[in-house]
Amino acid sequence: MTPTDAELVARARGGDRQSYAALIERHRASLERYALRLLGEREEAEEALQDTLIRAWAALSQCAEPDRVRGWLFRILVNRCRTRLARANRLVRGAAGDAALASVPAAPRDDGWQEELTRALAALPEEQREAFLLKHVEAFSYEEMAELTGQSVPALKMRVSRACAALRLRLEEVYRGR
Amino acid sequence: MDADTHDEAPLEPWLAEAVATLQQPVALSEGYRIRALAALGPPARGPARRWRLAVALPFAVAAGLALLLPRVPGPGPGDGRSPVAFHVSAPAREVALVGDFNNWDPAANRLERQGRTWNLTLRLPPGRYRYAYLVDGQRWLPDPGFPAAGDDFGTPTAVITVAH
Amino acid sequence: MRTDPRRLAGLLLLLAATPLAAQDARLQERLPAGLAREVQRVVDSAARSTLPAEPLVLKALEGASKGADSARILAAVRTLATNLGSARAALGPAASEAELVAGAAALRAGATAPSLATLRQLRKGEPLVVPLSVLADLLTAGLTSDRAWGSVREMATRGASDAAFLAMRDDLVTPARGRSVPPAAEQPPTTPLPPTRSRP
Repeated sequence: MTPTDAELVARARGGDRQSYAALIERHRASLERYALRLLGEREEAEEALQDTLIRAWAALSQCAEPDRVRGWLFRILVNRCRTRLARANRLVRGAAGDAALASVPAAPRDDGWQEELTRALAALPEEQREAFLLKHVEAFSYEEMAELTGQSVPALKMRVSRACAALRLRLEEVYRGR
Repeated sequence: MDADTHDEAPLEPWLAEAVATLQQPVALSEGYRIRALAALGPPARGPARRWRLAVALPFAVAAGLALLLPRVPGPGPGDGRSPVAFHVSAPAREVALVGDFNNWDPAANRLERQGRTWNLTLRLPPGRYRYAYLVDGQRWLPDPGFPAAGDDFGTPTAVITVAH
Repeated sequence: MRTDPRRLAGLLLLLAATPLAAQDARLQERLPAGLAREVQRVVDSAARSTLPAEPLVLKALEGASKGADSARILAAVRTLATNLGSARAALGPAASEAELVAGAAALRAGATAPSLATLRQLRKGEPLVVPLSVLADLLTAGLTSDRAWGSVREMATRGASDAAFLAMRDDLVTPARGRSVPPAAEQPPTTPLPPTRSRP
């Protein structure tokens, strides 16, 4: 029988690294996707993820709701990504976004949509990109996002709304022209 | 109409397509997971089983892995010092790292430019260090990635804590 | 020439009372002569109280590098000496130089001496550099004393590792400083999440 997240957390708390590795494997795709989409560079994403895995293990005893461990892991990852953004940036903002996101892999069949999507996402203010990815790509509820980010639900809704408006300007036309 | 006014409203076609594209899996190397799992100590529980990076790091190094933990540095093998990587992005001709670890001497540690980023790695013993970047010998910059330190002299100063 | 034994004894006593360290060459090189002497007096006084000299010298050098005026540099060195002494009193005679530096930073940021002493009790035999430094960072970042001390005390009580302390600090402080990410909301989250129970 496949163990639940809560069971894997319980075993990992007891020092079982295999259970921890299994837990991470279960949520790896989602965590990797968020880190890469937000940070835009493979190396940055991998360092944020590595840091997240180490910190999560060290803090596993503080996971208050083991059956919601995905959100718990995301909260650590969100903070790791913020730290990397704050650190790498960020004395100069501006043209870096497009170049950074250029390393995100394009889809095998790409008619310009993927490229424009990548650029549009990169052009978003980071707090809007964060909120958009958590809401629409990772499918967290606004209440969950509030727990993850420490922001209020109205503030998060505003960010997602603004992100969508900005994306629409760049993507709607491209979408229709496909 | 706003594309995201309602939590449960169906997404407009262009947005649904964008989300579907972004939800495709990405391909990252397994290296970060291997490094992370190799660096795990016992989970933090109490003093008797406290995790020490001092234990984790040599293990990872012995496994032939280049492990760098810039924000939670632990001692490297041998001298009790830990590698600490400093990075800053700034338009500049030169950037100096100036702080408690080099007598606040602007000539002691110049960062190396790599593209838009200036980099330097120092090996520091455990402790709390105040520092700042001096850009072109004139402008003091804090480190946006590390906490601000209280300052007695009216200039931005950062602080880094190196663990045992 | 004969030396009066009483005079020799007096000289030896005087030597014992004067600083063990010689005049610090860095102060002489980097500070105006008058200021270098004043700072050296503070350093010597601290050394007689078995407080470390190096942090005081570094404070003066920091001020010199930043172009601060003499009065400001001297005031900063004296304040640090006071805080080092208070940290020593709270942490005990076995405290390391790094612990005293971190403790002085915490005191300067608004921590209380009893909180330092409590931390020493909670982590007997363990290095205190990281918890003290994290406490200083939290206070410097603007957290209330109750919240900063509460977070540190809770983790110390739980026997958290240094890595966990730093992770907690990062979660509470560093993201809020990132220029590209606005500060997190003022209210705490609705459910406890790692590595601490609340965030700014």
